[in-house]
Amino acid sequence: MLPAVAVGSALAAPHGEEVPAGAALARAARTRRRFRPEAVPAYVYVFGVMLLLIVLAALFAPLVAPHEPFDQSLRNRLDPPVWMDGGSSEYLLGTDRLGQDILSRIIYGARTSLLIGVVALLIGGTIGTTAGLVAGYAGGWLDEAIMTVADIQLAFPFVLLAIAVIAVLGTSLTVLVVVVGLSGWVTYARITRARVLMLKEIGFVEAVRSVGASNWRILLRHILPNTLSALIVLGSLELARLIILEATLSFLGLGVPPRTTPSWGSMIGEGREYLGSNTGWWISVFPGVVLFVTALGVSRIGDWVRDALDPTLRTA
Amino acid sequence: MGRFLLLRLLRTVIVVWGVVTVVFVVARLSGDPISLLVAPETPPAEIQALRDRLGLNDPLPIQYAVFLRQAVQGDFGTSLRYRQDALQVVLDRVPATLQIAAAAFAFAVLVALPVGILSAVRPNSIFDNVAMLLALVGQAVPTFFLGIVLILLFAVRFGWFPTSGLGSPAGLVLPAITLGAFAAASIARLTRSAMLEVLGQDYVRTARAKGLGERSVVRGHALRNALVPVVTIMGLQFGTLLGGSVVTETVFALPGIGRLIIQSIGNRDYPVVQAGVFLIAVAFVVVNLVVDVLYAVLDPRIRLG
Repeated sequence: MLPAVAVGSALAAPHGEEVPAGAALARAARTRRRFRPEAVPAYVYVFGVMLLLIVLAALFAPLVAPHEPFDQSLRNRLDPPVWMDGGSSEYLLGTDRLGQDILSRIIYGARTSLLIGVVALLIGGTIGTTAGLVAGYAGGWLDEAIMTVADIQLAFPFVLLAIAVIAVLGTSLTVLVVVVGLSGWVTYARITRARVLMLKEIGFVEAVRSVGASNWRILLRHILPNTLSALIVLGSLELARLIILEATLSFLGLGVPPRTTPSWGSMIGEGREYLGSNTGWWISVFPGVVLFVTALGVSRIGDWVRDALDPTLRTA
Repeated sequence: MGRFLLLRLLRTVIVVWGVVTVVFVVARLSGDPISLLVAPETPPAEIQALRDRLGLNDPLPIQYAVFLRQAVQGDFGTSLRYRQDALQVVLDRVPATLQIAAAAFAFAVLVALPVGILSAVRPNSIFDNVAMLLALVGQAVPTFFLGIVLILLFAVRFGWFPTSGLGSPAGLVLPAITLGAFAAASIARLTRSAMLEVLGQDYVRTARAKGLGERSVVRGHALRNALVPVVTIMGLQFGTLLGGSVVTETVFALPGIGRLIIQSIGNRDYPVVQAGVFLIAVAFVVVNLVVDVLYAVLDPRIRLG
């Protein structure tokens, strides 16, 4: 049994034969969808290159970073960036109050941000998609129950829930990843459920059921592949939100323990106490700029992917 | 309308029940909640007495029922740090948080509505492009980082506003902008797209065709219709502002509920954390309820549909 991946082409050529008009239209549509580099807006390249640099820096942090992220130098505490009076090329972006190199900590912090962002994305996506598949396919009380839980979660600010959980369980990488991951499952569940309800109305689900496919087989081989493009689009938009959420929790002191894992959010938080004085602004500002650029880049590219893959999802 | 109200009220009750349940489950996640409720150096006999008094030796379902009853009565126990009723400690911080949220809301609406309308009236003008670029940035910049940049520029560099505290009305300006930026960006973008859609409608063309001035077309015919979705978003954004106050209050060291919650985590003052989370969640739910009801009053299609 072949998975019914492309509903459109199945409808256009019901017998697998050439249907002249339909096939030509489908081919035209495919040609139009083909990747054309000159049609990609410039900002996608700009952000793409920046993100690539950040990902590479994270992957090869030990090779790229000029210092170890936890190397302290008492003689070089609160050194300004290289272009200011008192700065040195030893510490390009300056040092914090323990004499740790800001640039190196940003590079290692990229690992934390990206790792937590991606793992949390997978957690939220997996839970949400499964919940949505089950709710939409099973219907009935199971559907009601899952969607009520989703409504409850959406009904109050998630940061509060995260705070309550972390207050009890304490800060650790695992807790943080799970909490950040759970923040996003509702959106996946809703989108998947809506797709499933729609697909159930189209004939092919009935067709594969009539030849004896099991429920799980129908869900995983026939329905899931047809929801994937919407889920990928959603995921690319979610990633920016997750990275910011991790940074926010770390900023509040609820993220990974800053003494063992550098994180952009906790670096920004450490710099907060220097805001009133005229020194030390670089402790917060540089990780903040990198965080902002990363979040903006990911979400802009996500927007572009959405418009390119599925214009019907476009919102205001 | 009565039926709509009843259903909506029922939903609100379910959500509040869900919030309380989550707080209960979370408190039991750590195993023994007693460790969250007493100072580490408390003698064992006292712990045992407290354990009996709090009913922690009862079976879980009974504990849950008791917890529900106490939550309904607003009883979250005694603050370990302030030695008084936990909810009262939180309630004392309400005025500060409300001030910040109200100021942020006023900023968001007063800036975003005119900007959104002007952008829609002159689409693709320089004003429109700059405004929408700023809106995009406003939606992507992390709240706490925006606050820090504003402090560095306008408090430290130019010295126009205090860096922290609520000593004077000027102290509200930077927190309001920080907290309101995301809402402002969202409202501006939505106003623009709602106005653009309405301006393309037949009745707007009719209004122009019968010779009305541009001003009264925009104000009288377009704006009123465009505002319906905008009002909904504004209401929802107000709820979000309450949640966002946690971050803003921490950045500006303001004496509100959000900062109290964060400090209480540091102090392991769990009754206050519970009461604070509960209060903000309930406020959020109630604001959403009010918005929904107002929306139904404004737009008959909702309550009859």
